Amino acid sequence: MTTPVLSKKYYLTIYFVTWLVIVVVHAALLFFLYDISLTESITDSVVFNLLFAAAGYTLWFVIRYNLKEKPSGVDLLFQHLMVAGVIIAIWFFVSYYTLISLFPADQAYLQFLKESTPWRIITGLFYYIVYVLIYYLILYYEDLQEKLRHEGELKSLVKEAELNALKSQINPHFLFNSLNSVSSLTLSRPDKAQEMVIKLSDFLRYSLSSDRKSTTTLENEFENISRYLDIEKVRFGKRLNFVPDIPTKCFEAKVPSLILQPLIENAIKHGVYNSTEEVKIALSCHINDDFVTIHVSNKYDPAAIRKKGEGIGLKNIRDRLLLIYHRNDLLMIDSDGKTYHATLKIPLTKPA
Amino acid sequence: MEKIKIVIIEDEAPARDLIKAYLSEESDIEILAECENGFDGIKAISKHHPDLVFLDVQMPKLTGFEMLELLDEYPQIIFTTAYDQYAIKAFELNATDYLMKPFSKERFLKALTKAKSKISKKILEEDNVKNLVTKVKEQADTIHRIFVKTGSRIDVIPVSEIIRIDAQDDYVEIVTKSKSYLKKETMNFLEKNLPKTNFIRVHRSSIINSDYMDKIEKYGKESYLVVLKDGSRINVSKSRIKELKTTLGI
Repeated sequence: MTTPVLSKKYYLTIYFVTWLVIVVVHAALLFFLYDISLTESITDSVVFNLLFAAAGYTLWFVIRYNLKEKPSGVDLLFQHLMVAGVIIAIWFFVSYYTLISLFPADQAYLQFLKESTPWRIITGLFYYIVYVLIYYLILYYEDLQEKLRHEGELKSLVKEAELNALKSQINPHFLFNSLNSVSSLTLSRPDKAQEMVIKLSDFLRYSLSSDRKSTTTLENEFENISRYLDIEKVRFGKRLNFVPDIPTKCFEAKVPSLILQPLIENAIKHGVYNSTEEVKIALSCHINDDFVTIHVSNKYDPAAIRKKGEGIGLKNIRDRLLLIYHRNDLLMIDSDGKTYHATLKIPLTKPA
Repeated sequence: MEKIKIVIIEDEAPARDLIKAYLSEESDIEILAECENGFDGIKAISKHHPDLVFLDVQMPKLTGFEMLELLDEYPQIIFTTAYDQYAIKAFELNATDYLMKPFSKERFLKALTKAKSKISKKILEEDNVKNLVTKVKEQADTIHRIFVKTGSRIDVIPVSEIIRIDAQDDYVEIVTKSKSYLKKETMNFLEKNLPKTNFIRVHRSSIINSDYMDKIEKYGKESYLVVLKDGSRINVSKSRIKELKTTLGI
């Protein structure tokens, strides 16, 4: 627990200097205006002011911790009146009796001390108000700093997530190998090369235009993966055999955009990339009142699986499902050692 | 003049077509084989003894590097790759020529000219390629399969089937449920790259797969034996007992 006064050397200096000035002014007033002797003037000033400096210091904890609940209007005023009453009373009586015990014989001074009581209380109240205002300002400033820092962190997190999403959408192997195929086709089949460039552009445009929260129809999603698979078909030829089975009644279902592509990409990566034979990628879909269920399956070579755990593509799907539907049980992955199954359950009603 | 014999090993048809198209105007070469995978590549190399091979790094079943390890002879090699930062680092360390897909005809011909001049000067690539393979292996992740070449036969052993591995001079003996294989490999490499969850080097000359472990027997004062499911009894060296126990969680 640190107070702002102790948090920086510079604040501590200001605190001391301010109180020193007050002590000097106070003592000077008593000495020159009220004809109190020098010793009494200085002692009076030091006792009253240093005790308040100490009380004010502890006031920070009251403000910081007791009033942190942010009570409103009347409550706040009432609390402050209570705290002020207690602090000023303690401060005044301790100072008062300290001075009486220090100068028991000086009747003129004791008379003055007695008469000045209302002024002392008013000064105490004034000090209290100044303290509270300064402390509130510091708290407000700290809060603002914290908010700004937090906001900055959040922004960089969002950026990172976006970047990761982008990276996982566009696999560099896919991109460069596809461009290599285009390069080859420009020599042998320029018409096919053009078709492939257009498909590749459409695919990239679709990937870049979707954000993490956007949804689209299953029909759009299906068109996108069809483009993707057409491109891959040029590279892999007969090794890639895509068998879709999507009833038209599923087409209008709303699903997160780019949710299918990572599943198909995984099927290609683990199935087709690692196989010299034909690999069937089956996509099926059914719909009921609550969910549209999409199922992707492919054979894979268990000896070829290199990485443990889930790749960035699946993690991304899970993150987005959690973000949009607040559920983490919508993607199910299952493999029996030969065939890999991914099942995606998309709720038809989106939570608010 | 004798023509330069070329083999193309590349799993994607358009990529093979492109190399053939770029080579079509060259009169001093002949393409002897086009292979879709590394297994066919090994066969083609041992059959045709090419001077130059275009080799794709990423291929199914057997990658370009895994294929190189199984070769008996080393022709000039021009690697092709779409995206592989590790491989590129290794190529550069070994001054091996490689083409980044997609590559221009100009870049392709430059690589070809360089290879031709090495071939005409009869500069042997063997050490270079072996070095490269070692470098790539050093960076390798955990391995999940081991290739063993016996004569012209290549066996792929999934590591999950390995019961134990014993050191045999320059070779290792890999024992599975059904067979045992000899491969030129080091125990240190296997210790480092087999999955650490179940492969434990219990002795300077033995690595065991804890999935096939029956029990640990104590004999003598501080000596232990591991008994495996195939009945074999493996000595555990004193210094490795602790490691074995931590891996097994006992």
